[in-house]
Amino acid sequence: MANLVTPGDLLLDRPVRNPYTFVKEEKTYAAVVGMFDPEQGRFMPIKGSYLPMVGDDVIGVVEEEKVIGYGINLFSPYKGLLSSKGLRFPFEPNDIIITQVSEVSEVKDIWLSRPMKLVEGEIINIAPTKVSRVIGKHSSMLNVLKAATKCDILVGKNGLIWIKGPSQQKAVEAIEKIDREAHLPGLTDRIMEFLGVKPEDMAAMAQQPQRSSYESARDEGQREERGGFGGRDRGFGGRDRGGFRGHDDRGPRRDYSDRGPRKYEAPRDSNREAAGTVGSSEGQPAEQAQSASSGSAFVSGRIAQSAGQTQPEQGSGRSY
Amino acid sequence: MIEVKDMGTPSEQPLIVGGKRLDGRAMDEMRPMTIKAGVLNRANGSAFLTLGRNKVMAAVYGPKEVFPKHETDPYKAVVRCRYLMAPFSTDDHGRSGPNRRSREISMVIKEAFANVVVAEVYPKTAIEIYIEILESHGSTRVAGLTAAAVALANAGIPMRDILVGVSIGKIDGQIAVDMQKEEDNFGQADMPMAIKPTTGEIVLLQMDGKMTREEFEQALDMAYTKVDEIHDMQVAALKEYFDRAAAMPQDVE
Repeated sequence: MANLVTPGDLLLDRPVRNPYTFVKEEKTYAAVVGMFDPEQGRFMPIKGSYLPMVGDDVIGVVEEEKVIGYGINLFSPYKGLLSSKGLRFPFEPNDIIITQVSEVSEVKDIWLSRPMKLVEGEIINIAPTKVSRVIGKHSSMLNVLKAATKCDILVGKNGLIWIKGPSQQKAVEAIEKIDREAHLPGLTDRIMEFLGVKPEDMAAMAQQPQRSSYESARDEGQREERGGFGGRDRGFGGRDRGGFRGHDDRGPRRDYSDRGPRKYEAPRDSNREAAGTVGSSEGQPAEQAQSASSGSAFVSGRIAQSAGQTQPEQGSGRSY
Repeated sequence: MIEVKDMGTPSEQPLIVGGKRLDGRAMDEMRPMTIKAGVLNRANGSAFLTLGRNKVMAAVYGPKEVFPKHETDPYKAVVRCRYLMAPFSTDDHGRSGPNRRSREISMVIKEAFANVVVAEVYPKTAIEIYIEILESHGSTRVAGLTAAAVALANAGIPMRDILVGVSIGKIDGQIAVDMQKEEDNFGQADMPMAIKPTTGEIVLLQMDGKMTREEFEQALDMAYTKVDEIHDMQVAALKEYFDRAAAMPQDVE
């Protein structure tokens, strides 16, 4: 049975550090008002601002357009920054988006990625400390809410929740009820009763194999983001792995198949073209000649030509 | 009636009559106190406190962005405090806005709370405390501080303790708790204090007037007897708020 604790109350005899507790003489004390369950050792703060963590899905409002991207209001003490690099379409101020926290710096600069615009639907704001109750264990509560109201629900860790569906109002009321009563015992039963869900149905709903809401919404008309200019987190590697193709005339990679083992590719310039022409004119396979010239890519054109003619076997098929 | 210009000097009229104080209290008796948490919708946390005729509203905003930007601390939150007496809070109508006295009180209350707020949790932010004295009748700074502590807890700001404010004084040669206006103005000493109830540490202590060492010790002892009483009322107010918030159909911020 959980009981209400106030700042300064002793929670545990061992040190546990988190934003809502403090440690003094190897003991843990409550720093905010919350419900503490001594049996399970669980402490649920009743109020608290959202503290961003890497990997959180958050819902925010585009507040301003900057040179590097967008300033996002996350309803937290800190603003989010969304780089416009790699975006398929621009956002406008007051757009509501769901994004992921990709980086939180030492000085609380928050970088966001994978943005997705939310259109229509309804947004409600609850205490960020109660988001875990809206989702439930293994997102059981969220699955029940979705199944019982037939709504799409996206939950931001910062306490903003997007709801769209036929019985939107019912879902809003249910989530507001969770927000109000999260600290009182028997929450699940009361929500079941409110939604008119029987306990036996509930087990089935909660165990429905569902993709995460983020993924399922992404499929609707959203293409997977592919960096044209393989940036840091795009998975195409840097310049040395052929990911960055911006600073010469070749442009972005067109095929996204597996590249296989890394091979040295000769810079495509006039020297190589010359070597290729000479090589093929001598009756050798063009490929061999190219490979041969690549072995001496940094040598001047004339010497490369002669190397291609005299020692084709040595240079062929050399990989780095 | 007593002349105001004689403020601080021992009065002609007795402040203790037949062992009782002017309002009939015993020496170690506080005025009746009520606290209600969560009274403002737009603030992150708030509290309304009455202590006898005193009426105090405290509001807490934050953690939020710091303006002006150069006051930002990259390692911890900045705690700010504004204590203001409403122009209509006293017997004679005052001037509005901050003055020398209210700026000093704002500063000492801010420094008291800087001792208990776990500011490292929210670096680069500001936590703002506003204390408005709507009606004053002595000991407003400790009443404001007690209310602000409830408002901070109500806002969910991490704190090491809920601060308790209590005032002690000397009237007609005797030590008494919770000074009211006449006792404050015409008594021999007035000593507002803020104490951390769980550890008993003192985070604010000011004194006007004179006391002997023995009287000072006696005053401290008397203050400590009242700390638990006030702290229990603060906790009860917070508990009442969360019960009320759960029962209300509309969300209570």
